[in-house]
Amino acid sequence: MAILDEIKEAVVDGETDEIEELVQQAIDEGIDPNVIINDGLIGGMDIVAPLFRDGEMFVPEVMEAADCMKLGTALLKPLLGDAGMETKGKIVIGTIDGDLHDIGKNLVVLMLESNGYEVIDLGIDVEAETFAQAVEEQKPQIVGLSSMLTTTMMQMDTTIKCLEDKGLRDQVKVIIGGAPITQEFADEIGADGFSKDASACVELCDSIVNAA
Amino acid sequence: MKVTFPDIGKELDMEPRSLVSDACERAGMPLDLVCGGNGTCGKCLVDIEEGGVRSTVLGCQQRISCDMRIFADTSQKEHQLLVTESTDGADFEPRLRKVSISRSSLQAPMGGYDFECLEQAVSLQSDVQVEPLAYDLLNKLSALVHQSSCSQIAAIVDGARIVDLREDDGSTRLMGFAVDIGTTSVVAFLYDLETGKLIDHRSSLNGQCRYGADVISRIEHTERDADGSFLEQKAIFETIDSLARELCEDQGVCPTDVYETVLCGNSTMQHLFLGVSPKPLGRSPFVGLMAHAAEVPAARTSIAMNERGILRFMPLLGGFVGADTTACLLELPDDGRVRMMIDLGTNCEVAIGTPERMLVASTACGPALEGAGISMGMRATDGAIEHVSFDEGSGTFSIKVIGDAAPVGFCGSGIIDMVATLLDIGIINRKGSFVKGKSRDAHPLGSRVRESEDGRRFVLVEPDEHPDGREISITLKDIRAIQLAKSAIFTGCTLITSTYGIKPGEIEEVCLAGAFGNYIDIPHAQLIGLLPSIPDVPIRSIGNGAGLGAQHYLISEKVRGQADAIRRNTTHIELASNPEFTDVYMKGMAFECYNML
Repeated sequence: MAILDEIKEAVVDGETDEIEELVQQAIDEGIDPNVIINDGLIGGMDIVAPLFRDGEMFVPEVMEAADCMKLGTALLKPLLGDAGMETKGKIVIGTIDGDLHDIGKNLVVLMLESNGYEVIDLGIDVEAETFAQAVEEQKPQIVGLSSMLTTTMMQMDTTIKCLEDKGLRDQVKVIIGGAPITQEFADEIGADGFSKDASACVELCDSIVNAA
Repeated sequence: MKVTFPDIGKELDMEPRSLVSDACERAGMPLDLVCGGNGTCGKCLVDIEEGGVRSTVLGCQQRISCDMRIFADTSQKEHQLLVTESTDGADFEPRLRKVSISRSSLQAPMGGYDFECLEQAVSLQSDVQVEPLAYDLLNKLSALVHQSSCSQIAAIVDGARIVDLREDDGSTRLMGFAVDIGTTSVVAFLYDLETGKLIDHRSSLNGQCRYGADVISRIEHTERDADGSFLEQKAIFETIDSLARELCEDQGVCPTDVYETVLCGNSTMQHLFLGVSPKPLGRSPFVGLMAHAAEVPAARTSIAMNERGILRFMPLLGGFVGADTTACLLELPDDGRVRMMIDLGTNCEVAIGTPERMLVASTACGPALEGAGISMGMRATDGAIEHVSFDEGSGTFSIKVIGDAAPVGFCGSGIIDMVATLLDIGIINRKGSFVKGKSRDAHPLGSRVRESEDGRRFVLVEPDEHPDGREISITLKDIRAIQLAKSAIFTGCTLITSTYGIKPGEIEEVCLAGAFGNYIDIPHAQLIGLLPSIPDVPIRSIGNGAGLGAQHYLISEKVRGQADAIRRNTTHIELASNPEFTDVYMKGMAFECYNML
């Protein structure tokens, strides 16, 4: 189906002006909305992820690709019927207390959503208590903590301890990321996972959800 | 184990298995442990000699197993630093004065008092109404007037306060230091405060470098180590002390004649100089200790100067925007025109306005523009490529290497030239990616774009073109790091202008401060969008504004007043909280010759 390839290409090229028209065309051709999402939109994001990892595509282009994905999905959601969109899992995410950086975290959110996760974004400067409350209320499988500064990353430890204190730690997997974060640091504070960039984060979440 | 440092004439006894870097630190020659001593950054390479065999090792990894000689990296100590010309005694209006009074004129009338005599004598000579003498000088006054046989007494007056009284045998001088504390380098200037003339200057690496390369890692060190703030204060005292001693020795100046030291530096440097934890600066809401000029009695430091002297750290402007920016702003003409000032350094600060109303912000540009985090990046020392250009006629690159040595890597100005040149000749596109496929094959230099496991790279110098057979290249990831850095600066310039409430065209001049601003090729920096290019708005470098500002502050009471006015009239803005931030930052990453938004 040529139109699906065109959708894929439009996602990779970040053609936000064209994507809705193309998706509409696919709908008009009678293609199953789930197929349009999986083979068209997500197919495009699958091409984007490795290109981003190798530096061939950069943040603004990935953001545009993810915007295409969002625009397309918005058109398709109402057509999915009662079942709605299949989600791989639910993730609560936020930038840690004292840190105002959100571009990296937003990129992770976009990549996760583009790959079929339901993401609850708590924003920036999120206190440990707020994370704990969201875990309690939303019951996600994964909670993701982001930090850009070495001076704020110790707050991740505080957040994990807070989850432990409230008896919530066993209910979720905690994953962390951000410029200064390493696997060693993740091990040190007892996080369940670490990824160095947004596309690696999708792989990490997939492995956690599949193992469950 | 005996460890000798032939270049600095030192010898130490070190425990077996101790680290080369520890020995260097003890010898007062700290290595640059950018990665915190993990053996990953390669910045602490040092030449050693064991058993007659000379080799280059990683100082943070190499352990001492037998007697050893360690050689100073002279290129590092004298690395390229911009020390702009002196102030030429302009605006000489010192706060400190030496008032020389004959002892005979201090003979009090019947039932009179020594101090009141002195008070009158000082006021007659200098027009200054001094405050009553401090307790510890009362004894000295009595001894000088009644017990000594000297004919002249020198009163050292700081503002309205007499800070010292001493016998004046004609050799007493009044000197001061101005010190620019950079995160990486420290420059000290020695001034004669009686004439306002610059005597000499010296520079060296900041001794705190051993605790981390940038301010964030210095802050982190104070959190990790309970003694961190103390150790970092000690390190900067030692750095300034050794510069001060060197200056005094070389110029035949007695440290006891130095009564004032003026310092500037960023907010973290201020905290660490004061021995205060900068932890609150490291996280939102980025609160500092004190914006006013901070005074430290010389007796409380280990710095070579008169123990009755005083050290003054210039005023700060908010958040990460510190006294170095205040000092730079002092160097802008005071003519009421709206200027934009960009201080390019490890941290990039942007300011806009007039001395009556000013906005400042710091940008998260990171150290990429100074070569850190770039695969072949390095400091501006011997072997660093500082300029790159392309000759279309011959189809070849020409490079300029510091010290006319074989190229080893790129310093900041070289990376900017490299990226601009590749953009100009079409090897990289506007989005920052290397050409590929057919356009790569068709490009005369396309074969220099190579694939490797870590992504693609462009080879500037092939191994067979290099005297030591090395390849010099720039990777796609390096270009990405430059894009992030330059967009941070672009975003800062754009948002501060719109927050100030004017259009870019209403700025009358853009001024670049900082050593780096002097070395970069401005048109190249504009080509890649690192610096704003606004039609009809001139852009120029004002040199090492911070160092100059500190010197002016030292020799002029009027400039001190201006610095305080700048502190009062300046508002710090947090760029990240601007709703436009992400949009502008994303747009700014492309390589375009920008007109600002």
